Amino acid sequence: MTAFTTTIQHGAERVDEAAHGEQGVDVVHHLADSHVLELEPFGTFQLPQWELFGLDVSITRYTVYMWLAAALMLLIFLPMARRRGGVHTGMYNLFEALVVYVRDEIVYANIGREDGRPYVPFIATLFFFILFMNLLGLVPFGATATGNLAVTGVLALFSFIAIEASGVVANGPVKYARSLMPQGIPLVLAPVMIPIELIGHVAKPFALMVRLFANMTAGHVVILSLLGLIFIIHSYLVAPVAVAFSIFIYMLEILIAFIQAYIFATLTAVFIQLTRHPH
Amino acid sequence: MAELHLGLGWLGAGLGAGLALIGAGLGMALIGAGLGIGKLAGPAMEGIARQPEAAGEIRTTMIIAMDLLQPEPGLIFWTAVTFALVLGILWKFAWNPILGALDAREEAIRKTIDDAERLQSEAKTILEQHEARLAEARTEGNRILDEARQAGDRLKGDVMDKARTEAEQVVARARRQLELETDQALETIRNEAAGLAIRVAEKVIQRSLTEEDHRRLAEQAVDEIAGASG
Repeated sequence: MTAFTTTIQHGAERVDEAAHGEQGVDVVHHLADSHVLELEPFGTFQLPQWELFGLDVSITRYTVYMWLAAALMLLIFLPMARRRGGVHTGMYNLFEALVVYVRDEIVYANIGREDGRPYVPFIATLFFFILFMNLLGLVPFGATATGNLAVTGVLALFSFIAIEASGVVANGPVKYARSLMPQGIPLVLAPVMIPIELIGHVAKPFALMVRLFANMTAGHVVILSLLGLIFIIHSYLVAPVAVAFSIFIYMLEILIAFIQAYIFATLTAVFIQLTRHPH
Repeated sequence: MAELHLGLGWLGAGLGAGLALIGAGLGMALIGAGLGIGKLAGPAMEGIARQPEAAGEIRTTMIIAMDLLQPEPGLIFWTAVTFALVLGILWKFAWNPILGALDAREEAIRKTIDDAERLQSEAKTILEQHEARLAEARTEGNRILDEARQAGDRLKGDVMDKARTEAEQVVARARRQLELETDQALETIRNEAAGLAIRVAEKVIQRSLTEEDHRRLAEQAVDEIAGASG
């Protein structure tokens, strides 16, 4: 185990050299999590390393940006909840429009007006948490926490719990358990059907996890690869083209940040509705 | 409060259902991670075997890439804690108040529109009532005017009749008076004329008639007068 850790640190040092030396840009280095917060030219900060019950629960680069996203959410939505009456202006209207959009177009549109009301807080939190983490990856020095399978996996796990819970709440435990074995199918097929249904239940959040991770990672890979072309070809002439293309991809990334948050929230709402009304 | 209970029940049920299926989920995740790492490590091994001198480079790259697939307990832990905290805090202190305020505002707008529509329909009814009453008043006015005109006409006829009668009476009285006065005047004139004639005749006759003639004439005149007045 110690040998393995040493190798990782050794590897990280090598990558640091590669990333900032003359050889070029290391794409993986920018996508991997690390214990170091690089805010060049202001300096590099070593983040604390903690252990809890033998598990490594160090604060990493992604943890910091995830907390930043969480703090932004609290700073925006808590004051918003205290505003009462009167004419609202500026940022309030911007975020209220987004909240209303999540409520009407994501939750109510998929689950229904009456049934959907209890799910709005969960899906709104999911939407804004993912959106803020996506967007923080696009600011300078930022890191996309959603470009990591651990983060998207946990979010998908929460979705999974919400989806299955909605089935239990809407149908009761008995009817919910029976939905694993579709009606009108011979009992002999139960050993086949039940695993298939179970896999179906698990595959949905699994797809959520991979989709978000892959989308957020892919954009960064493309941008870094385009910039990497400058170092690979060793010519200033490539730079304008590469920068122009990476700016274009960057604009696309802003769009994708919204789209992926929307898709994650919408699919969660759709799956909740599917589980509430089993076939 | 009911909202909170619903939320807690929701969470409890979710945990139950989640635990039931979490085994399957973890199995899937482990299969995925295993496949990914295997896919990464296999070609790396082949590469090292083919080029032992590049073993260091390949190992470094492989481990860094593995970082992307490695389940990181720290990040999993912090993501779960952060999301659960944000969800709980915002649920209680942001989402419910915000959604409540939105619902209240929508309700207020709907109520205002309903009120306006109701008031408008009420105003319309009142307007119709007033128009009906106005039409009624107009008819009534016309009737009163007609009656007044008729009464006036009747009164005028009466007055004219009376005036005419009075005028006729006045004329008749005047005529009678006139006749009476004419008769008196005629009487006076006759008397005067007789006296005058006698005096004129006296003068003429004194000069040319004899005593005898006087007598005879006088008798004759007396007779005549007596005959005329008799």
